[in-house]
Amino acid sequence: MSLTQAEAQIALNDIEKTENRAAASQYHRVSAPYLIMWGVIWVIGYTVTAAIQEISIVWMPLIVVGIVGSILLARREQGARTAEFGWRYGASFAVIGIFNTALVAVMSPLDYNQMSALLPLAVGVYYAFVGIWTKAWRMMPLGLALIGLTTLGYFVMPEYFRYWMAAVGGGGLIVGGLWMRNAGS
Amino acid sequence: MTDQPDPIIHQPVRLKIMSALKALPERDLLEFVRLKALSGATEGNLGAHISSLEQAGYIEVQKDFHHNRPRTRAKLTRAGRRAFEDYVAFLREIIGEA
Repeated sequence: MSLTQAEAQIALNDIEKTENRAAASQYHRVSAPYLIMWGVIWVIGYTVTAAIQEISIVWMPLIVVGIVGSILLARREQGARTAEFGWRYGASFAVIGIFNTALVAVMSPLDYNQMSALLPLAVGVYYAFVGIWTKAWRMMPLGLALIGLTTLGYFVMPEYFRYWMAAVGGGGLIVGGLWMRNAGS
Repeated sequence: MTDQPDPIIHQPVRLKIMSALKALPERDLLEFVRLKALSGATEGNLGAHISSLEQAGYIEVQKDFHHNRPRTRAKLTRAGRRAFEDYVAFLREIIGEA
């Protein structure tokens, strides 16, 4: 059994294609539960803050739940690289939280809608970068959609902005998570 | 380096199975359903090729229950990883990259 150069090249192309698809599928699968969990947190957070007009009381416990949940999800991963990805994911959210807090401090006073828009914009940028720099390419359109929809809601329907964020922000993360979960299956 | 490709790996579906598993970290397992999607094989065909690779000692298959559902997962063994790397080196040598 001998192979021609063309056959060898086709086999190498097939290998590369399959490896890329497998890696993307795995990264998407790892991302999915984080997105779904944070999506649920956003839906609850934005809906409740829209109703009671108080940000910190609602968000603080939800953020704690999200951080603990992220840690538990990261620990659930058995593989070395996917577990590392999970930890990086959680740590990145912590950085976004710090960035957001610093931004609020620097730019205060901010009104409710400005405060509500900051985190989704920061998360959208983070997701877009994850999509650009890793094999989890689906994160890029998700991040850009999050930025676009947040900006759209901020300007087009300011009076319903938090309900908008609950629906398209939280709902978007949940749908995005389900989209990731079904990647490659 | 041999002048023949490894006959166990040198088969389109088995090559895709090995490529998909190689893309994962050493301890990671890939579910049967994902392998099916990635290889494009039918369930029966995939099962047969997985058995061939398992018998050759190239992959390890684990069966368990996840959320009350039976789950089959596979990962590359050390021998499988080495055999795959040799196979890729063999291909690269043919096209003059080695």
